[in-house]
Amino acid sequence: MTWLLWRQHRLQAAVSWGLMAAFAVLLWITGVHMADLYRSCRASAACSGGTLFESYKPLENLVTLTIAAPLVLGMLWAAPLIAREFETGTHTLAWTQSVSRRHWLTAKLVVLIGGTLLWSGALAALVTWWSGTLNTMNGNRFDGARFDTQGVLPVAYSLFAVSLAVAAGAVLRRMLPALGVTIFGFVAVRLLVDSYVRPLFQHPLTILSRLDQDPASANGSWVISRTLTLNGHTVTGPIKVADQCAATGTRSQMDTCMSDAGYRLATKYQPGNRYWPFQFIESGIFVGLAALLIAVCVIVVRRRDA
Amino acid sequence: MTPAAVTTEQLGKRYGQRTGRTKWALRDCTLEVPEGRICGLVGANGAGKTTLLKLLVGLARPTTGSVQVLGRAPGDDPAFLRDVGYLAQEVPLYRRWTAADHLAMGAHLNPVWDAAPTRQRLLDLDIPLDQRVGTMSGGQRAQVALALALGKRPRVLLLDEPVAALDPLARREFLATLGAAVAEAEGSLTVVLSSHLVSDLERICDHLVVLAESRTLLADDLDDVVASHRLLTAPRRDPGPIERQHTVLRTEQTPRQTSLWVRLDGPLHDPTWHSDPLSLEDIVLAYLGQRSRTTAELSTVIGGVR
Repeated sequence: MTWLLWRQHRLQAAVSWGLMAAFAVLLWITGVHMADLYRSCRASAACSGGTLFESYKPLENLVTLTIAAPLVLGMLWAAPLIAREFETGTHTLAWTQSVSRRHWLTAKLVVLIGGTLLWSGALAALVTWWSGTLNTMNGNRFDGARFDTQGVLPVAYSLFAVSLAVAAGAVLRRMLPALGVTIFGFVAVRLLVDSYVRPLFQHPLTILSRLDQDPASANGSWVISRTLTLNGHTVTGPIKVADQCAATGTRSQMDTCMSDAGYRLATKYQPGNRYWPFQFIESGIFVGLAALLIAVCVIVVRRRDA
Repeated sequence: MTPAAVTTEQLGKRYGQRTGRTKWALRDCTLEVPEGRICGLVGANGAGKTTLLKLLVGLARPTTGSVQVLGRAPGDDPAFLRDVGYLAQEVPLYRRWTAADHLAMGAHLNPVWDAAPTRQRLLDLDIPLDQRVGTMSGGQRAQVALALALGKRPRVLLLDEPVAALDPLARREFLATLGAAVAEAEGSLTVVLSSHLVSDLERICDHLVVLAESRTLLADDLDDVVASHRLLTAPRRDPGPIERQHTVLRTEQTPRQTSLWVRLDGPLHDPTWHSDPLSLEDIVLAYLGQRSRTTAELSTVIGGVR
C-alpha cells in the first residue's frame, strides 16, 4: 500500500511541500527583518510603531489568507482521495488485488491525516512565529483572524476540513458534489462556531469605562461588543447629546462632558489570559467533528457495495 | 465430476433499498461452474451479468441466497482476493500511469506475482510499457488490465464484458491471450466471462450460462447445450405432445408448417418431426426471446436444467 499511495500522490506531496518550503523562506527572511526593525524602533524613544510595517501590509494580508488553507487541503487532498477512485472505477481495481478494502482505506486515511497534521502544523508554526512581532506591537493575538490562523486551531480546522471532504467523497462518490459539500460545510460550520459558539466558551466579562479613557480591558483581550450606557442602562436608539455638551468643540472634550453627565462605555470581552483555553476548546470541537466524519467515511466504504 | 469453482444458490441482489425504489438486479440465480472451465455468461443488457460477477468477487453482497467461490464466501479478505482475478466492464486503470506502473502495482499488492511472464506477455503484444495507458488504444488497455488480472496467478478469473468495446481484431487478440493463459494453467484456472456476443463465447467457452430478466435460464456445458437443443419442423400440427415431453422455447406456426425450438429432455420418439441442429446463437436467442413467459414457467425451465 505504501508504494501505491506514493505512486498516486507523489505529485501532490511534492507541490504541497514545495509551496510550504517557499513560504517558509519568505516568512523566515521577513520575520527576522521585522523583529530587527521593531527592536531598533523600541530602542529609540520616539517609536510609535504606527507606520513601521506599512510596507509589510501585503504580506500580512497574505498571511491572513492562510485562514483558507484548511479548505484548500480539503479540496485538493481529501476530496479526490476516494471520490476520484469511484469516479474512474479504479476502486474496483484496487479492491480486487490481494489487499482488503479495510487495509486500503486505513492506509489512505493514515496518509491523509498524517500529511494534514504535518503540513498544517508546519504552516501554523510558521504563521504563529512570524506574527509574533505584530502581536507584540498590537498587543493582541485574540482578535479576529489572528486567533484563527495562529496557535493550534489551524491544525484542528485542517483535520475537520479533510475529514469532511474525504467523507463527502466516500458518501457521494463524485468529485464535484464532494467539493461543494466541503466548501459549503466548512464555511458554514466555521462561521457558526466563530459567531455563535466561541463567545460562549466562557462567560464574557463586562467593564464600564469613561468615554475619555481607554478601557483597562483593552490589552490582549478579545472585545466582543461595546455599548453606550447611561446610569447603568443601555442606550438604545439615537444618542441624544446632552445639552451642556453640545457646545463643546473637540471630540475629546465632548467625551469628557458626556462621561461627566453619566454616560459610560460597556465593553464585553474575553480577557487575554483565556487565549489558550479558547484555542483548545475550539480545537476540541473541530477534532471531535473530524473524528465523527472519519467514522462515517469508514462505515460507508466498508458497508456499501462497490 | 470435478469440484465446482463457482456455486450459487438462489442468489439474489436487490438495489435501492435506501431510496425506496427497490429493483432486483439478480434473482433466483442457481448455477455451478466446474473447475477449469471457461464459462460464458450471456444475457441482454440489464440481465444481471455485472451484478453476478460483482457478487462473485465480493464487491457486492447478496441480498438473498448464497454464493461460494473456491469453497469460500466472497469477501473483503486478502486470502480470498489473492485467488480471484477481476476485470470490470469499464476496464478501470489509472489513466496517467504507464503499463509498467500497473505491473508494479500488481507486484506490490499481491503475494504471488508473475513478474517476468506478465511483462513478456505485454511486450509480445507490442505494448509500450512506458506509455501512459490513457493514451493507449482500447485494445491495449484491455490487454494491460488482463495482464494485471492474470499476473497474480488467480484460480478464478472473472471478466465483465471485456471485449464489448473492442474492434474485431483487438477482440480476437484479447481472447487469444485469454485462451493461452487458460492453456498454460492446465486446468487450474476457471474463467467466467460475460458477453452479449455469442460468437465470441462460442470461440472460447466450454460452458454456458444464460441470464434473462435477472434470472438464470440455462447453465450447462456447451457441448451438451448444442446437442440437446433442436429445431423441430413438421407440417402444421398441434405442438402439444412435444410440449408435454420436452421444453419448447419458441413456437412458430404458419398455415402450412409448425416450427419448434426445443430443449430435448429425453429421446425424441415421434419420427414425423424433422430435427435440425441449432446454432448456439439461435439457442441463446430462443432463451432471450422468452421474455413474455410467466415466472412459473421460467422456474420450470430452470428446474429442468438442474
